[in-house]
Amino acid sequence: MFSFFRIMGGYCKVKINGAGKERFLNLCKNKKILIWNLRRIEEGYTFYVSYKAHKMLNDIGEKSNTHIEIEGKYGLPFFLYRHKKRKMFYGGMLLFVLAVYILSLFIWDIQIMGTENYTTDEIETYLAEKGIHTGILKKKIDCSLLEERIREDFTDTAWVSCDLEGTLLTVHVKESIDTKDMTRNEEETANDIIASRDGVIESIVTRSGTPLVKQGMEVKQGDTLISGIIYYYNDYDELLETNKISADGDVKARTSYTYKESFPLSYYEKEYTGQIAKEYTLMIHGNALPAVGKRNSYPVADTITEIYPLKIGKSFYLPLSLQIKKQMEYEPEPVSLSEQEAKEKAEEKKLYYLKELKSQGKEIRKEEFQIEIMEGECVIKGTVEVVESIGKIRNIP
Amino acid sequence: MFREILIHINGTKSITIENYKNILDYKDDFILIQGKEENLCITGKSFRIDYFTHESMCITGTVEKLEFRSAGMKSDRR
Repeated sequence: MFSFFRIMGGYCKVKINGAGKERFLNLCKNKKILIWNLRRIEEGYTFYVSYKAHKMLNDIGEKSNTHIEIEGKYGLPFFLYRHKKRKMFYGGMLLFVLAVYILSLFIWDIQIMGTENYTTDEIETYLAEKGIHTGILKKKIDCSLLEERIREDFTDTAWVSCDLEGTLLTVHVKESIDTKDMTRNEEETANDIIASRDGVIESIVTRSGTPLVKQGMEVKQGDTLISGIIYYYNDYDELLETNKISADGDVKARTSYTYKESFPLSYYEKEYTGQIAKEYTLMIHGNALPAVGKRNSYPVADTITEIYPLKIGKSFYLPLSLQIKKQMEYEPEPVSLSEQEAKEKAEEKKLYYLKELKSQGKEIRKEEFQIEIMEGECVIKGTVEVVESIGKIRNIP
Repeated sequence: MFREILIHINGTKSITIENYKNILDYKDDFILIQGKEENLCITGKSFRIDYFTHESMCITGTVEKLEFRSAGMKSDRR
């Protein structure tokens, strides 16, 4: 930090020699001039002083009969003086600072996180309808109001959080009833727990609310499992009052999943030749400038397009992005599977599907699969019975 | 009115001195500091002065000996 201030203020390296060089140092001390890095050299001393202090040295040198030589001048004041004729340079610097400041007043990127049933496109379309999109002024966004609106219009959300940092607007949406994340919601909103799928109730643990189902009951998607409405009765079973709370609990049910997939026995496999063509395009707020790079001349190729938004730091996004289009040439090689090979491949796909279900926390109770070869295709059909948590939040208005 | 010289010593590597009047001599292996009534002689090797202000100074190097001499005595090195 001290070095930063020295550079901003400017400093000099000074060499002194003569009979009164010690007197010179003492006079600097009396005038409260800070000297640092004082070194003894053959003819005298060298040391550093600040830009402001170096202006006083000539007088002190005369008084102490010392010869002074400025060996170097460093820091911002000297830099500006050396380049004082370069007006365009300073103009350009000022323009840059002004441009960065103006860009920082707008939103240049919107990120949606945590969506499961709702797609990112749905949320983005909703935000666009409310007038929130890239290129608008940051001060037009009220995060609290936006959170409230999203919660009202998307009733299946457990909580919503909107953060505005730099030029990035982040919308976090939570749809499941993971209580660890629910504590982040500052307002307690009343909600029911409803069924996300059809099934037969396997177990129910109610932590708050009124349970409306029990073990063995069949439920349909959307049925209320735990109600957030509490009823208070008197001794004569007359309803006194109702209260709305946030229902909470774990409801597991036996559900079933249908699986169907097919693939041809004869197909073409891609043999990549190793030839790659890349094209670079600079996008300014969605508009593309002329591309730079090798154009595609391959008869058959895979195309991968990657978009990198340009930003300064973690959240200062700019209305610029770099699009890289990568084309990888390949030659299609015909492949023909025998029946045995096709069945082995089908078995692998089936196992992969079951592994995916297990990784989602579903407990597999029963599986029935059929693998058939018909008309040049291998078809895998099956049903899987699992036990899983089916509760999800529905807000009570 | 000057108070007594204050010396902070960090092993043999550095010394910080306060309440001195002037620096009388500075060489690679010898420094003479003027105090209120006595002078301080520092003997050693490779002396450098990291900073020198009206309040304090910091000497680094290899310190071998610190000696007080009465103000009337002249330095051997002068």
